[in-house]
Amino acid sequence: MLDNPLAPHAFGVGGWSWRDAAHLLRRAQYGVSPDEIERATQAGPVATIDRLIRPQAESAEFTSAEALLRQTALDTGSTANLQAWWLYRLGHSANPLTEKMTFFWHNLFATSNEKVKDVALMLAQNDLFRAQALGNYAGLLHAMARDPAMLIWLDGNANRRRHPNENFAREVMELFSLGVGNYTEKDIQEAARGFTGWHMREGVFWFNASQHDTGDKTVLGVKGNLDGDSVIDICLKQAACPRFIAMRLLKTFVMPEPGEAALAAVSASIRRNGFVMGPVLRELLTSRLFFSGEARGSLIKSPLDLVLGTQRALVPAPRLEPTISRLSALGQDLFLPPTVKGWEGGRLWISSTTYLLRANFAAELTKGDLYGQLIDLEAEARRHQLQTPGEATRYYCDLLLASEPAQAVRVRLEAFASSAGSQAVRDRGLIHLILALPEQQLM
Amino acid sequence: MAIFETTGGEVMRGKSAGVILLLAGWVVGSGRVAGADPSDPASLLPLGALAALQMNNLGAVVGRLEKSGLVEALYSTPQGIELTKRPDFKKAMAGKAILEQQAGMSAVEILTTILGGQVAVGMYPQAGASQPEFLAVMRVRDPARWKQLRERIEPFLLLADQVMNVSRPANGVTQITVKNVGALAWGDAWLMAGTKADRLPGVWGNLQGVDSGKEKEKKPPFKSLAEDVDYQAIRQQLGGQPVIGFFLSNKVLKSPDGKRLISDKLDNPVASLLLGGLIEMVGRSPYLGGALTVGENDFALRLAAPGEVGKLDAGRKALFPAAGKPGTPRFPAVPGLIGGIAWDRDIATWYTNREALLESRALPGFDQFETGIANILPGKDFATDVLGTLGRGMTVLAAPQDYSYLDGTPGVKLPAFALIIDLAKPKEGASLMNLFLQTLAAILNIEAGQQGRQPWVMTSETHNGVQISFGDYLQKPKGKDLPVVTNFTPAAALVGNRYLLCTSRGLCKQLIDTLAKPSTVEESAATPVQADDWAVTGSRLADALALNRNLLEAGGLRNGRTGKQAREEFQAMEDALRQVEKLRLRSVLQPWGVELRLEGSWK
Amino acid sequence: MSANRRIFLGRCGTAGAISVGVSLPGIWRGAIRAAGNQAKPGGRVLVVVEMAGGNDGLNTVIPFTDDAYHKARPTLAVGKDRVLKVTGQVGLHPRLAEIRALFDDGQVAVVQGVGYPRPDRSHFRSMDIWHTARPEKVDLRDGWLGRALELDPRALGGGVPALALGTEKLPLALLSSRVNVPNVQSMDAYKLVAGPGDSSTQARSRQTLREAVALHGASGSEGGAASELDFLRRTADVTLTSVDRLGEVAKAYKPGATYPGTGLAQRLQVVAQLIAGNLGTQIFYVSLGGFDTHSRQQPAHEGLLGELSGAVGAFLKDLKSHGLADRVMVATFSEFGRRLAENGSLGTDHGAASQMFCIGAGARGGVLGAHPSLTDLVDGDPKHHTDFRQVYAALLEKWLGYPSEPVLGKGFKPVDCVKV
Repeated sequence: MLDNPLAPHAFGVGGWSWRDAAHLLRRAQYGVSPDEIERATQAGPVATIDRLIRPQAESAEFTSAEALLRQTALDTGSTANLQAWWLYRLGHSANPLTEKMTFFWHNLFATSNEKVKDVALMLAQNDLFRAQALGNYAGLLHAMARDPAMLIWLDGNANRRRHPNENFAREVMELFSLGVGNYTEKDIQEAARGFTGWHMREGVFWFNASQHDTGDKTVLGVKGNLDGDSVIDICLKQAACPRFIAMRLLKTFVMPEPGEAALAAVSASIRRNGFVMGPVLRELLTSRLFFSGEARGSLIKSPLDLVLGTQRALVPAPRLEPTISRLSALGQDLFLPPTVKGWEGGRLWISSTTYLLRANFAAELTKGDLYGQLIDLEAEARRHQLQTPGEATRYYCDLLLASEPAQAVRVRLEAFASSAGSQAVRDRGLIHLILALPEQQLM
Repeated sequence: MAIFETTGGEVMRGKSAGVILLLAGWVVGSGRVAGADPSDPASLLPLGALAALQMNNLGAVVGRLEKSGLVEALYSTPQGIELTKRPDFKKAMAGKAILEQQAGMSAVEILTTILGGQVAVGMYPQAGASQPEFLAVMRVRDPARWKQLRERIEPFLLLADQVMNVSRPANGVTQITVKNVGALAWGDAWLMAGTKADRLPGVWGNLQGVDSGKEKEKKPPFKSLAEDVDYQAIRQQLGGQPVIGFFLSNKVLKSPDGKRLISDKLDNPVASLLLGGLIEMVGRSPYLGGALTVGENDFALRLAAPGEVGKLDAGRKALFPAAGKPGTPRFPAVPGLIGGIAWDRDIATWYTNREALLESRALPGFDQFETGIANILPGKDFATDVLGTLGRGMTVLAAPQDYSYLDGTPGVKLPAFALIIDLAKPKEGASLMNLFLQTLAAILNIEAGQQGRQPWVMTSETHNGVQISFGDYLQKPKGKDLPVVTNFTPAAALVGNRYLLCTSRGLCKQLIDTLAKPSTVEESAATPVQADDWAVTGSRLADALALNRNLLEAGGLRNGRTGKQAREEFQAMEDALRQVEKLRLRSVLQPWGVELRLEGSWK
Repeated sequence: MSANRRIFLGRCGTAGAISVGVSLPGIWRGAIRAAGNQAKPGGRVLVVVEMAGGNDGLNTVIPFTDDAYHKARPTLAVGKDRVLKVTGQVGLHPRLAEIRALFDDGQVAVVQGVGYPRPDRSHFRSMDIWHTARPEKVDLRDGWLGRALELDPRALGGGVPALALGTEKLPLALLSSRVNVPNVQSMDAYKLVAGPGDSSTQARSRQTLREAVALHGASGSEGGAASELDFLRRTADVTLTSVDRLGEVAKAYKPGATYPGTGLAQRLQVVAQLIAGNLGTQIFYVSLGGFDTHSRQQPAHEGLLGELSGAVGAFLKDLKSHGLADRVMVATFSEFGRRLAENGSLGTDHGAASQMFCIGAGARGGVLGAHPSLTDLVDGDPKHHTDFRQVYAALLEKWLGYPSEPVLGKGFKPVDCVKV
């Protein structure tokens, strides 16, 4: 194909720039610190994507803190503590893309502890997502059909030979693999029979043979004594399946409304790579599509992107409890997706109420230490030589905004910075203002 | 018990408890300093104060403060760092340095040796202003050295007359007036500061024995606060020479039109039951007083509200021990007792008088509550059938839990709790409580079933002749992070007229044994008549917290700490708690009123 | 006037008051000018009051002459002498005094016998049915009011077309995949927190932000990142404007009635404040819970009806004093009524058909439809004769001016509860 959107991006005359590195990291992790951008700029695109995709060793501090938080979640059985554990991982892991993809799967196979009511099972499901974060989607889909949390969530034990429950079979097609319009109601009814007797017992998957329907079923044109695994294999063979996953990847990592060419290319890549995500993501995140002007700054930040991203840039040791409650107010309670559809995101994140909360988050973050101490602004100014209001405005816009702000915005920011008092007061006010901007909601 | 929650906030609260202990620590030492001026500092203040505060052995307190690591520690907190960066703080420090250099001695030395180390601060109404004015006076103990000091310092002050006006209004008197701030004056034998410069001459005129110049016509004889009858009364009631004492006139407790500022009705039923009596006594009392006294290894902070409990309305009188009665039950000395709460209340009388005690908006809640109770105890009326069987005493206590009924431990390890209810009608009361317990267990079992947990099987056994009804698991739950609810297996028993409701059978048995031997109960003669008694033993609380060490350290991590910081913070809290022998808060009935007493002792 | 035209003018009239001359995009400014030429001030407002838990309709609008009623409810029946008679057959519960006064004034339509086929007695399912107006299938993607808002071009543009007040989550009725309805748990929280610095820095910061968010419109049609940014700026602009306006509204508003201290009254007072402040919000949603009276019903149910009546009475009086009474309609509903026969614990169990109130100057006062028979029962419940979607249709078409068919999925004959 002549203009394959997934062809590697040719970095122009200036080569791989600070701005390119920032774009890649903002999308591949939850926010980015100035040091990380600097390191990635030095390392170049190949090493950077390599570091993101290849497993990196975690620090001793991370390992022990993570274990303590994990044990606390198990000990208390509290969803808030489970959220704290994952937020710690999201903010501190040496494998940020793995964590982001873990969330991708959590959002796809959206399971809520509201119904599961078992922190250990939710944690086990999350570990499964993590283990396969950059691994095989097909394997993950098969695993989900046997995952205890999922079995509780979609009423697995109610799916019996003479009373099939369609809940799981419907979501496998509608939300987990194909999307609406790629199957019929009849397909769901037949598929549900395939999953009869796929039960949970004593906290683990159990094939209840006496409740399994061994009769012939026809799913998506395939006839036979189909069981759950064969139903899933049939779904995976559908052309709609890789397209469905491709659409989710594009909307998560690239742009809100990808065109047909992009969809077809990513879908082909998924098929070619046998549903293994690592190589697909490597291709996608280094593609000309990913670095195109159309893609940059086009995604509305989820609360996780906004809150964790801001903290990664400005708060070295964030407090998790206020972070959890702010995420909750903004509509993103980890492990508690609103429905089996997960968080739909995009423009739905933004309403009057949530915009105010986002702006007020900026004020609270910069005013006190509710979310933790802000970086030392005086040291930052010395390090980056931020003397004039113009220099400070430019530096913090580059760090915090995905795209250069319009001239009219920059002029106003500079005017504000010029009228502020000392350097530290000025920069604090400037950061607050940039964080409250509509531009800040994009990445 | 909130302290067992595993949030970061609890850790912080633990820390502040540590700081309070440290504070108490050097106040102790300061109380030991010899040679405190026995005279009452209040005699330095004019009559008519709305409120007064006196501190004795101040120099020792400041001295210990400066020497302790605490000041250093406070300065290194984020707030402290901010403070030290402020220009006025820097100026003040520079001023202090100049003063010390000129005087040739440290500020602390000046305080302790030259000045008496006693200070009296009064708050006075200010005509035509909403803000009161303040006046602070110190007496000089060593006039000779004081004179030397003044001679060295005064010339420098005269140089700095741009912001302040330095004058010598009378022989031997220097007054420095700072516009819009106040004034400072000193003479041969005293030093004073006030927020209203005009008032000073009247006061020092008397102390100095000269005319202030402003009130030439006829000087009224100086009357000091020490002559205030209310002040004298409170001094007598609280007694001794406290490290810090304060006095609050009833005028402060009233609005300008003479109404009580403390509303006579509360809107929170729990607050009314717990504190309604004390709040009302404070609202009615003619004046309030307080005193902090410190011993070798203990301290007591006492707040006094004089008045007659007997004159309260029925609903509130019910919140205090009846005349001639001993007050709260004493804590049974079960092994390892961590702490407890004991009350003496006539809850039924309080309940039936609730309309007189609570705002009308709080009342519908009672009806909802009664409807709810009626679901659990069908056919019973709460006020008559339930409260009517209760006696006055109630005790809640916490003791170490054993997990013999589990094959493992819960993830969150709570101590065992017991509720001891003194019953007026033991037979009816106990049968009602048993019915309640059975119904509650049935309801909780449904929930357990829904969540796939084991239900409690209700059964009974006899221990030392007392029948215990208890819930138990058919199969011991197995695991190292069992749900919080596995901390509880209800056990109940009736011992004499006392109904025991415990979260563990082990504690229930210990209580039966303890209550059978009255000699192990704390001697009651030594204890005053109390309406409330809250007590905790620090080292045992520390033991209970240490069982959940991981959870509390994780709280630190969630608060943005590193693993090392979280460990250190927990350790600091634990160490501080282990220093505390006992911490006790109680309300005590006195012949002259009621007293709230916070006492602590340490090793 | 055509329904669509009324929507257009109604919306624009109130929009004018939000932010004339501040920073509306050009198209709105034009629309406001157009509306400004019309005599009609302000748009119509619907206030939905949800009575959650299943209100005992038989003890709300009481068939006091019917022996079957007294026989089935030996302890709970309200005596003939106590009911507030509104017709020869039915009367209101004695605690509905304020609503009775409004009824006498011709401002209350009591729609009797409202329900839906094959009633579901689960709170959750039945509530979902009332919220989605889809009794036939489980489809919780959106609610009836959310779908109505999608027909309004201005609602699609952002702003605060509807508002849920005091509910923990956005009620399903207001859910839409295309229109964002704010759910304001407390008005105190609906504020822009000032940034760091002294008050003059904060004021400059706020001013700079106001100017920066007002830069929309120029790049809106370009697609991609530019159109997302334009959407964000528009939302931010409307948000900041409404925050400012709410602040002013709160300062300017003086209640024209004494509201009781109840929760519902406090919420309705805020609604009155927002209507008086002309925020352009056309639908408000508030909820009153606690109607699930299985045991010892009497004190709880009386209290709730008293809360409803007192709050609505004060609300309408307040609106009248502000000259707004003509613009506002209050509609009440509950997910189901309760069984005719009382149960053994002085309460009533989940039932089916019940009544709805439409209250306001625009309501066609009177009792609409017969009280369902108490002898012709299905599963122990009186039968409905009016589908709730007929009431929705009346509120949509006749009151708010939306076509009802696209919202309700098919045509329903509107109940005559709104004066045209």
